[in-house]
Amino acid sequence: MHNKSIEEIQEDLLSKKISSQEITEHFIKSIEKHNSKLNAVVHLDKEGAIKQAKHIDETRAKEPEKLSKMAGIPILNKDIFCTKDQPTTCSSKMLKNYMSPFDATMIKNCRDAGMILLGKCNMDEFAMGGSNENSHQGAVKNPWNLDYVPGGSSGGSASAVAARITPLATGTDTGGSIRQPAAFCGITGLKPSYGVISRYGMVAFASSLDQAGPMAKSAKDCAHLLATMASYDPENDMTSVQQKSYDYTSGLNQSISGLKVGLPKQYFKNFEDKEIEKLIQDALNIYKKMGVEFIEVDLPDVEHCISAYYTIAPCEASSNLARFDGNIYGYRDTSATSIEDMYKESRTKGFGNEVKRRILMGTFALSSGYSNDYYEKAQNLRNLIRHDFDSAWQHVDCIIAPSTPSTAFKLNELLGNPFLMYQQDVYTIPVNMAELPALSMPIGKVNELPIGMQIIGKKWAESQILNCAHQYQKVTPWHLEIPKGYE
Amino acid sequence: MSKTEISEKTLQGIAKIATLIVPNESKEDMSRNLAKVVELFTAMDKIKVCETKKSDLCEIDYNKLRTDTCEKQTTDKNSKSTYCHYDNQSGNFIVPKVIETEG
Repeated sequence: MHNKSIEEIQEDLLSKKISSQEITEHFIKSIEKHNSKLNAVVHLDKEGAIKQAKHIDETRAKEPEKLSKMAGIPILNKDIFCTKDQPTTCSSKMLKNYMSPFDATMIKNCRDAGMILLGKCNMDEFAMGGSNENSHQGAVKNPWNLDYVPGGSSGGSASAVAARITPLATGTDTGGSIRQPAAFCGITGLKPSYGVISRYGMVAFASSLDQAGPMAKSAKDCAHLLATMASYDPENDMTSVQQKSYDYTSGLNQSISGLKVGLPKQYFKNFEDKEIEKLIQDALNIYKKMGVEFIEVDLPDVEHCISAYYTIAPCEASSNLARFDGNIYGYRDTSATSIEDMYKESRTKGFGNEVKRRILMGTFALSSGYSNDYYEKAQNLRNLIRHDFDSAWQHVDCIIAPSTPSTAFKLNELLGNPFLMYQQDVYTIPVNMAELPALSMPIGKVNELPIGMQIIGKKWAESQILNCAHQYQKVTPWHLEIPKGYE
Repeated sequence: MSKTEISEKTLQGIAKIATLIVPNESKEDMSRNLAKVVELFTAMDKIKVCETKKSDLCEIDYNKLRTDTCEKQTTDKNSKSTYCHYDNQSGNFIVPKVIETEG
């Protein structure tokens, strides 16, 4: 069951080979069996999930026409999406036991489609981090090797899908937080174009960069989940954009012969890890056999993306996180004797070190006298990066790039060196800066750890990059591989 | 070794604006980290942001950031006249009758 694709599960449900309750119980058992070593799931809603599944089974028996294709399929959500019947903590002490009074639009879409909300996944606190070690709930482990990180910030979601304790999971991507953990855990993860999925009810980190997305075994499964997650939500999210179509699966069998794919020279020159470079070359050869044409493209400003990103994101984070002061909501320190001290103590004790570091970075960059020097310059640089991609799109249909500079690293290896950790995002950040869609899929392993490759598309070209990945996955086995002990 | 230095006074000033306390044992580490961040920021100085050419595909002129200008604001008298419970003659707000009877 746990290695079946979404379409196979749908067929089993339709033919009544299996009930939604049985599927749900299967995945609950898997979570209970494996989560103690992975720490991927921070909240399991056993009762709620089985109740939902029973309701779907009853509806299927009486009025099957009322059910959507995704009805009865279980999902785990990143703990950053507000859910009215499950806690939403962002893996922070600041929001410990917080119950949202409403559902995020994306959660509502999944609920309306009849999906079974199993629970919430661990993450880096407030989505800040690339290793899932910055969590108040403890570090998440990579199922391929428990001594290694799963990546972050959607590390819990990636680890859970890789270990097959859920068929689907959701994540968010501000600078690579879906694609980097997807690469480290050997799964497929898609960051859609900014505006495809409503951000309403998704706790904000950097509002101009945050975007939710699906994480699954394959591109096809991601397409099914994206179709459920995405919606136009003008009442709640002014950055939500109406799409021509929300069907991401029907384009999955189109030929990619003649497709022009760009290879950014900045990404492929002096690539340090030769083994990863070879795996990417192997993947490119597979595409070549399918009739894809490769063209070198120039993205001259992407090498400065880290500077721009670590200016813009902390600035927005320092503003977004100002609301957490222990007054209206959030952790409150009761030992303080004045209101000002209460704010300071609550924030100091409620936030973890990485969050505080980024708040201070953002506050500094926005301080009087500096904002022109830093924030505006970073915004200009962001425009240059957008322009680089616009120029590339004149010659190519999509771009292929590595997802990460290396395989997953060991737990605690980079924890004391945040700036080395930030460099891990070098291939993923430009996509967020340009608001483009990009997908990471597994293309092999080095030292028994998975490697991911990115396919970057033009804005709103989710269907095209999903099709590209699907064509590759039709002829390769990497997305079907399961870590030992989770078969 | 970082070339930029962030003094304890600057760090305390930033922490105050951010409503955070930097404990004594973290001050050195945090100052060092912030100094590295400033180096990240200043790395952007190398880039000339004014030489972008417009592409055929995109009509946006990337050389220009949006210049927000403050529009002339309405007067206090005008804005109050639009409130439904404001009495223009007396200059007071009229409290609507909500509770007709008690008990």
